[in-house]
Amino acid sequence: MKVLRRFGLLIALPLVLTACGGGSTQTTPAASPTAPPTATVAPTVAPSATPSVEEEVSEAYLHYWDVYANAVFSLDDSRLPEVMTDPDLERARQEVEALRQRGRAAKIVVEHNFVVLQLDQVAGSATIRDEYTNKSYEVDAQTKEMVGNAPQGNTLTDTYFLIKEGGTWKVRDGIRENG
Amino acid sequence: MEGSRRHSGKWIVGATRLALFLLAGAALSTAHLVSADDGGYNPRPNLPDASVSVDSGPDGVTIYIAVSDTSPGGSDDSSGGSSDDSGGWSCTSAAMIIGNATRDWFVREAPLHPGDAPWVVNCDNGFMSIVWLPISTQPADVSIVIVPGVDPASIAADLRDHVPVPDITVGVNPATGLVAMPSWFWIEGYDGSAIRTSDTLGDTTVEVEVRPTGYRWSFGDGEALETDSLGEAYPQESDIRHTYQQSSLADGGAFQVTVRITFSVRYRVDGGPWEPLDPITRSFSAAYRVQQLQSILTGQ
Repeated sequence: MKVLRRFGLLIALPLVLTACGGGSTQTTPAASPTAPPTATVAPTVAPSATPSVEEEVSEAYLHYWDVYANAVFSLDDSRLPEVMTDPDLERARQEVEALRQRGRAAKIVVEHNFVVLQLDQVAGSATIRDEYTNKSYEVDAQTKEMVGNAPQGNTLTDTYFLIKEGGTWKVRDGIRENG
Repeated sequence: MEGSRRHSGKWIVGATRLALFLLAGAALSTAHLVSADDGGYNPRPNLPDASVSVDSGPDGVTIYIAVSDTSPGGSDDSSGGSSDDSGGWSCTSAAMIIGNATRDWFVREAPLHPGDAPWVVNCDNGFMSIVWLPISTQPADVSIVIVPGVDPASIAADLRDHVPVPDITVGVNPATGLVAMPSWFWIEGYDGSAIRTSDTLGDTTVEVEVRPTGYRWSFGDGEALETDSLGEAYPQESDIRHTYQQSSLADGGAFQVTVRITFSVRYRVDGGPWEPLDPITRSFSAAYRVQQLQSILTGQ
């Protein structure tokens, strides 16, 4: 907390970002602390979108992973539209199909470390950046036995863009950051 | 809101998993479906990708966004400025506001980036990223360059892998070694100085520098020596010495003397600060004959 306060005092030009970094309007204005201008720009501590909405988006994001993990394990993509929409939906379907054609499925083992970068309740959009530990592995489509050696694990950084569709937050698109 | 949650499952190990893995590997159409060389699986393997790198220099900070054809907005040409417009990519950057949603994340990540503050890169096509910039960075100091298809780090890695290391030879004295007599070794054709190479793509110049950090000498008889010197050419006394205990007769007539040089590698973009890359090694060998002297006693 001390660190945060220190950064807050250093703020010179309160930058108009949406809830934690977005580029569009936000529902809760960023109440940046005012301070005399200095030569330094640093992050500020500011309230952003209401916690309940953030939790809603976070829960939706985790649910997206649950449904996705189930789809690639069971090779059943019927529930994917509940949590994603095109173009991400089409990609996920292609992924399931590619696994099916190879007689494989995937066991998703990931440990999330994500942050809601942007949240716009009015527009119904949110951005999540997840730097997650991945120990997922392939399994045989029929026996569900692991194929290959146990993975050593890697870290992946994905950014997902969510939209609210019919009252439900869904992943619309994503991009992977290569290290 | 930041979150941490684990999706986990039971690990199932089949008796024939290795064979199946090999078959699976042969059947893969794209390498990125499997991570590394193990049985790992990268979720969402067909996501578009991009990479972000930062170059901080005296003239400011440049954020490079390397995009592929499948990235949102596709790839296009590059341009500068803190707010760029490059075809499908129009990006801005700004210091990140730490709010409810990011407080825990910031507390966790900030100690990993001492002296830096998080900035958000925000592109009109939806791409967002976080970069850590020096805390004194001003918005006017930051420019964003969209690099289609490549990024400076990959260019640097490619340069490193093809760095023109001189044609080194192994010097030795005496020319034919003698058992129980020390032989002196040194490196010829290279003075140990840093080697630089560069490449320019568009307006971006990437320089790579390699510098030797250590020499491992293998004398061919199972003995080895780690040094940080090149040795001294005869008639100077070299500090790289080895005394053989047997002739090379049983070793094909000559021992294979090898020096393996480890180079540290760094790169920079447009004269900015140096960034480290993984080190490389290069090996150079020479055949060295060692003889056994026979003493002959003569009576008088």
